[in-house]
Amino acid sequence: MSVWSCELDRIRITHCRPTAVYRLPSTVSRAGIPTLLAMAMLGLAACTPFERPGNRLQVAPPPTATPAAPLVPALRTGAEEVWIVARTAPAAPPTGAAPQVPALPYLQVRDDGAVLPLQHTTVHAAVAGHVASVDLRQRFHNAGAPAVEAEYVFALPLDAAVDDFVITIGTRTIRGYIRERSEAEVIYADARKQGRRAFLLTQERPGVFRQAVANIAAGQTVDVSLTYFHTLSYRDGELEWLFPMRDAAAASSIELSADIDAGAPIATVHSPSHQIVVERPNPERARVQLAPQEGRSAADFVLRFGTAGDDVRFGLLTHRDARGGFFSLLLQPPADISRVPRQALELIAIADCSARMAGAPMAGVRAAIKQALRQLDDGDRFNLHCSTESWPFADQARPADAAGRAAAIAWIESQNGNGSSPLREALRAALAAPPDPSRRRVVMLLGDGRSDDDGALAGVVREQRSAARILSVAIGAVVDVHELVEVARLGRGAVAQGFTGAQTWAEIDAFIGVFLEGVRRPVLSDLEIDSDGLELADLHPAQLPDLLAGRPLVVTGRFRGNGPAVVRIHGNAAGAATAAGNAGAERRSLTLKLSPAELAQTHPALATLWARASIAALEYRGLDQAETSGGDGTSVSAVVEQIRNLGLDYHIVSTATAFIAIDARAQAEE
Amino acid sequence: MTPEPRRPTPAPRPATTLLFALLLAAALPLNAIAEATATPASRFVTVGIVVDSGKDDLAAYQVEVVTTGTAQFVGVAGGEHPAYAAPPYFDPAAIRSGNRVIVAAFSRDTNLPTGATKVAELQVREVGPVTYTARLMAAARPDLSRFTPTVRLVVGGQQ
Amino acid sequence: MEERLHPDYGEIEAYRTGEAEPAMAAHISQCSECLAALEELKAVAELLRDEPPLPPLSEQRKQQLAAMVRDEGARVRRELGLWDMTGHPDNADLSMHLRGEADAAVAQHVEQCEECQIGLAEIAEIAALLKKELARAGGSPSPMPEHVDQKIRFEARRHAARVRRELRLAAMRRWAIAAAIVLSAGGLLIWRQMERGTPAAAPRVDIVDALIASYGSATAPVGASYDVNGDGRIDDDDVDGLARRAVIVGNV
Repeated sequence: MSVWSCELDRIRITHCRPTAVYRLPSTVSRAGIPTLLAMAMLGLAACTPFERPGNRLQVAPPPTATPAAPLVPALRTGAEEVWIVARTAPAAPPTGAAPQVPALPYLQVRDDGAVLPLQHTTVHAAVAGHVASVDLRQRFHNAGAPAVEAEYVFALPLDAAVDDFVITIGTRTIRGYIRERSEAEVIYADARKQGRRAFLLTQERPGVFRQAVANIAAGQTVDVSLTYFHTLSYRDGELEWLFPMRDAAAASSIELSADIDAGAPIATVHSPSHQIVVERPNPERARVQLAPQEGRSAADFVLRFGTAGDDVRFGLLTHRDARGGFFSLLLQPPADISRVPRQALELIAIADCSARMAGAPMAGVRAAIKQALRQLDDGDRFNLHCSTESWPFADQARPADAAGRAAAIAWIESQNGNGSSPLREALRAALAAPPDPSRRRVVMLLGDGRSDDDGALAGVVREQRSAARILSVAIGAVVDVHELVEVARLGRGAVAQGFTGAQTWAEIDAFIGVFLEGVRRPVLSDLEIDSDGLELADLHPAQLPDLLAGRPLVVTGRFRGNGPAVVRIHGNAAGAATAAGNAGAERRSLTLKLSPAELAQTHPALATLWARASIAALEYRGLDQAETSGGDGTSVSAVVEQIRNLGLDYHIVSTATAFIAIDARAQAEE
Repeated sequence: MTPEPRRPTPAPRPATTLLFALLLAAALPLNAIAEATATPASRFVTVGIVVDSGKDDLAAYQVEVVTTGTAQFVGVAGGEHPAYAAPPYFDPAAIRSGNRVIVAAFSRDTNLPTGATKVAELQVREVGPVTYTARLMAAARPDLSRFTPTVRLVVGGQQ
Repeated sequence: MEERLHPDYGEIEAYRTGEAEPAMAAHISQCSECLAALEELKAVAELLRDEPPLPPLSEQRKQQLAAMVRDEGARVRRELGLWDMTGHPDNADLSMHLRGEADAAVAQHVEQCEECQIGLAEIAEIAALLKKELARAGGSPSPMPEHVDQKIRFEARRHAARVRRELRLAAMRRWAIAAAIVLSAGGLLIWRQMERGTPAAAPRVDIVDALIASYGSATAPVGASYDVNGDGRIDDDDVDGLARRAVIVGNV
């Protein structure tokens, strides 16, 4: 899904999904816009990356970029059950030769000479279980002359559902309305033109928001507050709340606090990124504040907490209102999986070795494959395929003994990226090969996601319905992450996004190791959910991934029924068979009993999170499927309408809905 | 500036083109759309909701505002008295139901307004002639007893 | 026998009058929930014992009601109070109209809609029957104290909201509850007859309910009805929930 925006002096193409964002480099006249649009649509217009590396979840550094900063593995997105690596690089000073493209966040003042800095940021998170409600308050102050307009683009968690927007000007407080985006933008432009203070919050794509502020007079201070919900990620046995401090660091001062209500005794609370002060009012709660001396650190703020015990935890939160019932299910694996039997692997790596990958990207491909080979044991098997070669490394998967691995490393070292051919046939062959009953198959797909037509790789995965797990490793100068995320999601696997640059590979290596070890030791695989007494529907993710160590399963959905009810999760216990795995299957079930009272709870955030997940599913998949289903157009517009309706019904920002707040009071009245 | 590699040129698919067209039409051009919609002229006004509780302290109010003509609610502000300075409750989703909004607030402050008090202010974009009517739906004194203060609207903000 | 859900009230009513199919009769006779529903229907039937039978619903009206419930999108909008004038007002709206409490838009629609006028007549007729029955049974037709009346209306509205979502409800129950809303005070008896086993649904409230609830269960005259989230206590979450419900257009 792409959104095009035209402004007086430039044109911008925004891919509203986790893929690169571009801005056409040319300054064009208004008359030239239709031509440019047409050219860009046909791929004839040159695009430059809109954001620098370091933007979270972005993977489009210019080839000449300085080596990117360290990656942090295993950032789970929450909305979709995919791991995304490449959280962010710390802000790097711009080099002289670097393209003048803004990083996130950026504040752009339209009137030359005017200054509207972000003066102060206040962040407060209320964490309940695995759901966080975050209030973000940004104070802008116009210290310069006349009334200015500014845009502030910033990142929030990928699954953030923004559902409140409040403006404070002095003692005056105005709450915004959610409206269809096009309508909100017309209102904003109109208000701006008429000299009214106007505030517009749009979502450029999941996790990236743009806040426009107009007609702030000299000397005025404005507080813009927004509230969002999101689910926490989970790492190393702990829940993790992350706030992109890079954005807050644009302000001259920051306050950050979090109240945690874990619902169980809290064993650990700490921040690996910042110094914090922790109060513990009772065993299940903690109040955390950023230490005063921390000031303006650009690193993302990471807060982790763990609860006591090492059992599998299975919990369900519900919410019911006039719109129906909503639930969020959390299945948390034990942190210690040493007792889970280790299974053998069959690894098939498929690499894009085309000309686009020449240079640093190809070095990344080679490094990632070598790391994966290092993770293999003698009892494993593997094969490699490079898109420039007519034949794979071996006719069939061969033992991962020392000789085999050495030969493979020599083979991959010889690949330099000098051709181009689609990967889909190699992917199809890897997924369609007869399963090895004694090994779990992992397909590792390395490239920029642009080797095949849009949706072609995902289409192969859908078509094959293989039991293999897919690890996408996104590498390239400009990456279509969307395609790789979709492939991994369908393949119940993970995505590693890698920037080019040597500094990142330690992180990528760690991620590959964690993933392969997780696949070897699934706590439960081939999961299914059912219920007696409830009708469960509209689940996200629709296709349940395996329950792996260090990675809880969070499922959001709707329900009908009043209970009492029983909800069960079924899965193959560790060591048991899958279609591609071991013999001796043992199907196990976890059961949760729910009373009518438990099904009549009120947790409005669950409805909001469900709506956000539904919108994300439509944004990620609905449009593509509509496009590829025959392209009659009706289905595409229907998907757009569904996104809009969800945004309006649940009053959250989406690519089709926006918050608008206008101060209709004439400034002369003040 | 370093030249950037060109994005490859996939054959445009009709549906993709349509999607672009849809989104182009639905999503953005700020200035272009603003100019295209310059007529009929729009204006922004404030609609103050004034509740006159006489000698009684106003501990809660609920007022429905109905408009005729083309009026878009573009914000809801709090009132003048400190007890009602925060924006009142309203249903953001009601925007889809037409030109009606219900605003309501209560306060347990010891300092509550009496007499005529602006308790909230709607921010409205008008296109063409618009009229407003208000109806008191509920009100209460601090002792929780219901009563019936008068309500009126004050339109302002024109430049 | 085909696996299916519990019988609806129509089928239970058929069982009460001896007209149920054998397989259904066997199910009902062994099903505690069905027998509880049967008791409810018997109570209503007892109230209406000496009255002439209810006028049958027109086929058109039946189809209209079924379509309203089937249409999920319309349901959501309606439950949110976003009645958009593309459908017909439901029983709760019509009942509120008879009480003079409905929105002007409902009144305007009813004036121009023959089907709605028939629906109104049916509700009014049943309401009259029940009122007469109450008077005969010694029920007080005089106004009750406001907080009791408020409680009745609160529960009746909650019940009506539930009714709107229940496709399986039979005509008698549906109309009787709608009539109960009209009767308000008299509705207490009806509500007591029907309340058992019915889960809570979103009630209609106003901002004064939120103010009352803000003082907690000790002060709130209707106590547990304000426990919106069902956690056994009345706290800020419930107050916020009540206030948010209060401002939903068409929900008051």
